[in-house]
Amino acid sequence: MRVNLMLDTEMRSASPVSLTMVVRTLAGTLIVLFLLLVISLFTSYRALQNNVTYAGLAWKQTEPKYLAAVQLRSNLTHKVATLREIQGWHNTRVTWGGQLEVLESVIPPMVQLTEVLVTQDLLLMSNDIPARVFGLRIAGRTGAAGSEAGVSELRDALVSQPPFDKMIETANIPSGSFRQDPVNKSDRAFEIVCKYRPKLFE
Amino acid sequence: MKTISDYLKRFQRGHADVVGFDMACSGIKVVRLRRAHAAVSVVAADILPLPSTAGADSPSITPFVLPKLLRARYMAMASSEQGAIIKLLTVPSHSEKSMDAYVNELMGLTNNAEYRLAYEQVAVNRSEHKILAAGMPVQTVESLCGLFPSGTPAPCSIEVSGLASMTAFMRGPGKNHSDDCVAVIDFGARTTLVAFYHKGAVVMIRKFDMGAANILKKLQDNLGVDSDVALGILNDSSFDISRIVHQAMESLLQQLTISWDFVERREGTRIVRLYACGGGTSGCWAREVQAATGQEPVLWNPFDGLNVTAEVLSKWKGQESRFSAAIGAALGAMEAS
Repeated sequence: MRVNLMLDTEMRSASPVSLTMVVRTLAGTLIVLFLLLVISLFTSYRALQNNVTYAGLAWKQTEPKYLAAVQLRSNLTHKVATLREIQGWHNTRVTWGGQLEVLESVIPPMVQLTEVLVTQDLLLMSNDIPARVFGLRIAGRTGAAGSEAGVSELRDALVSQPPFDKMIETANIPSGSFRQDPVNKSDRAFEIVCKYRPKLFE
Repeated sequence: MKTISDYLKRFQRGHADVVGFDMACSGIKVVRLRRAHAAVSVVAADILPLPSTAGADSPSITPFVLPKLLRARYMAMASSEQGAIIKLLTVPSHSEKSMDAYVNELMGLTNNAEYRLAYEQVAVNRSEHKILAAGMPVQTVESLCGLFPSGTPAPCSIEVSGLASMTAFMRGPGKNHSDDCVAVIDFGARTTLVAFYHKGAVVMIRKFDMGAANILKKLQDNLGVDSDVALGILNDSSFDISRIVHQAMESLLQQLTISWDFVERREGTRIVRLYACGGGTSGCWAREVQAATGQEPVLWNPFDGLNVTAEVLSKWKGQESRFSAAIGAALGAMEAS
């Protein structure tokens, strides 16, 4: 039975702040905040863009120095490697002059050397470190009387006399090498094969 | 298309604090109601003098200031404007014509633009709709809105006073007559509204531009007294004025009798009770109505069923039915929100 003659447009809220006003204010605030965010992002973007430009300019000035430094380091590395290699070769060498001088002093009087042959091999040790191993082959002759004692004395001197004792690992007379000298039948010919301890390229 | 306001309305709370504002020619009846849970309380009630009208040439409306105790958040207004129209219309259910077009046509107005029309469907069946339509001059509606242009209370409805009284009746004694037929008269100073209810539904409603002021005027003219003396004579019954009252009410009584008989015949039942309310119910008019209808008018109290303070009850004792329209308007606004 209620017939309301008032139009919806004529009705108003009793509140001094209407819900519509609150919603509009909220929407307006959100729009302003969004705009501020967009401005802030744009400002940050421009600042970053400027930073990139300045960094590019600075890099253009620095790049030649950098490339020179890189080249220098590369050269240095290469040279250090070369130096190490040279040092490795130096460290693994045997001073044959000194060896031969001592060898001369330990040869018994009845023994005459006819040949001294030095060999070398390069090999990798179990820990993948390269090493140089020297070999020394000595051939000679001796008179028939006391030949065995003389050759044995020489061999023993090679493994026990300094500086051979620290360098030579083994000194063997290969079987069949102690024989009659084919030139002078009254003499004996012999060979001693020495194997040096490996010298690492560290 | 729904607007943002329509969506916002979902979040708005119902009107729990409403002041009913009935603008009648004898004064402004104001009742403030407050709802707490299901109970409705009367916070304050008063009859205020009409605002002094501005000069006829002045288009401005002076805002009305209510006493603080009567200032609720929302206001339901009612007006007993003589130019108001109330009609119970019957329109076909299946028609190409819109309901608005039917209402505009059946209200019988020469210029619809000058009237604010509104309607409510009260019954529907397979072939027809029963529509209660009301109209009020646009100028009156705008004037009422202009009385409270800002702040509280905020007007939320405008009704014709007689219909607002019927709202109060249906929440009062009307609830006890859901199976029988009753008549209700809202007897105002210048207008009278008669409604017939059968099984709780309105079956006829009529508005007459005649009220207690017409009887008073007739007394003044016939006895040659001023309005105060005429009012005293009408209230204390010191003279036999039944003939004058009958003459003043003749037209109304005739229409009432015709309507009464029509309703009884059409509905095939007897009207078991006649209720009355309104500002003009004091005086000897009741005898004339009883003589015409055979039913003694029962003056019902619109405060019944509400929590009313003793102060309000004592202040308005004997005049309670004057507030029926204000209470009905406020209750209607509370329920509609």
